[in-house]
Amino acid sequence: MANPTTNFGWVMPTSADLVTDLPADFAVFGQGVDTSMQYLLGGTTGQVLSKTSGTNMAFTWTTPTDQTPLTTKGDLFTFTTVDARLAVGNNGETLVADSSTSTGLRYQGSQAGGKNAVINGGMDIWQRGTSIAMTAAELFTADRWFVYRGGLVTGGTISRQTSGVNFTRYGLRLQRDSGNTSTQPLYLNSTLETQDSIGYAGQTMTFSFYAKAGANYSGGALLGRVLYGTGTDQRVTSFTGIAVAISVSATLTTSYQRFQGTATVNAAATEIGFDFGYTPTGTASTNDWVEITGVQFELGSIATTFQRAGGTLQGELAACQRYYYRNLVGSTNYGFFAWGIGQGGTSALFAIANPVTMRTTPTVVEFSNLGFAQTGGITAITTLVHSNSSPSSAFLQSDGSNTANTIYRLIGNNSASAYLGIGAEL
Amino acid sequence: MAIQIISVDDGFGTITEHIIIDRGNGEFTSMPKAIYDEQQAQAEHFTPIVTSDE
Repeated sequence: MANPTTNFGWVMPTSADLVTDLPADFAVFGQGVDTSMQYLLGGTTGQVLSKTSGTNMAFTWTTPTDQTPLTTKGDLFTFTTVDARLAVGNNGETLVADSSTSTGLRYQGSQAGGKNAVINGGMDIWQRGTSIAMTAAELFTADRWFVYRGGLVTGGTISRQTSGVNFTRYGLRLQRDSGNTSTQPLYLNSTLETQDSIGYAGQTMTFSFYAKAGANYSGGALLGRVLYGTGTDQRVTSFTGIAVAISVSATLTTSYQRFQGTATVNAAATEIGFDFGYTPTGTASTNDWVEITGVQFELGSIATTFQRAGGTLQGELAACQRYYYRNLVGSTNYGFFAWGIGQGGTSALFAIANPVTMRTTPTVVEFSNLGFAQTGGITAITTLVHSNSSPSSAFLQSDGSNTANTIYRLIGNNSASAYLGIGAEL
Repeated sequence: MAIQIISVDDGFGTITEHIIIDRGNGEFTSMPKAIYDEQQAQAEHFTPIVTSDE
């Protein structure tokens, strides 16, 4: 070993020193070591040595600034101008880039169109009218939503109401009319086609909805359910092998709350439907009702932000018109619906291009205040049926005296409430 | 509400029975009788999905 040492220059005793002044020489050596190591003294728990310059042994104890900022489950380690924490978002939210935030990141709800299987879950589309008396025990109300009452009892009203719930404008009110004494349960349901159902078989799904009750609500918990069957394209009320996939018992207040349930759909399911029901008690008072909106059925175990199945309002309308569409005349008394031709006698034919390709060949015609005319003189219609319709067009045959091979207009019969509905519902 | 049954010739030799439902308020609904009969059968035998508030 070199003397002094090659790196620190510590002077060690020599062989001559051993017989002359050994203690003093060791003192020189020890002091040299002590001086060299002085920078390693001090500091405290968690500190690290840091160079203060390029000079040898120029150290200082410092507290490291690169410690984790994370404090909570789900936090992300991000950076602003220094290391930073991004708190985890709410359930179902996704992380997106956002240059306006300090970290350049932000959690937000998913608005992806098509994630929701429930058509018109936001109760946007009411082609049949926005207030429908339950004059029959079962009938369609808001598009895709079918209502019926146990025992085929009438005495209810279904109406569109402003919801005040985020991402929905309206809710569906299912009401037992004031004074109605029947305690038969009321049901509201919607059904998916088989081709829209089979993809969910065996999948973990979440069903969510918003609901509230009127001040005089007489029922117990509102049951919201996802049901499945093993048939093909049946209405949920008639599913083959019907069984419950998800059941949510909702205890209602007079303010909207969101309810949800998650389960794995049976792998054998070939048809899926959604059902709400409650059983009233006593005699109905003025506000014996429930309101429902934001109905969503989606993949996964989290209820994400509600979104229309069709994405946009127009998309939702088109999705509904796959099953039913209604043409109105607005404020015009003689509004135009279709061109047609007389067959002579009491049979005329009218052709309409459907606004979207329908689920199947339509079979139902609903109409009111219709007639046909050439240039004047309207012939009223009380019979209008499908003749050779297809999913893409309605070809209708009416009654009413006419001249063969004469062009006629199918129009409103002096009525602004005239309508023509074409149905291909499940 | 009044219901009548009519027979309609589609012009190609097929005659189908249709139901015309006059709802009494100026509104009418029509459909093939076979569809109507099926719906009536379903209405009378709806599966009792929700029978109480459980």
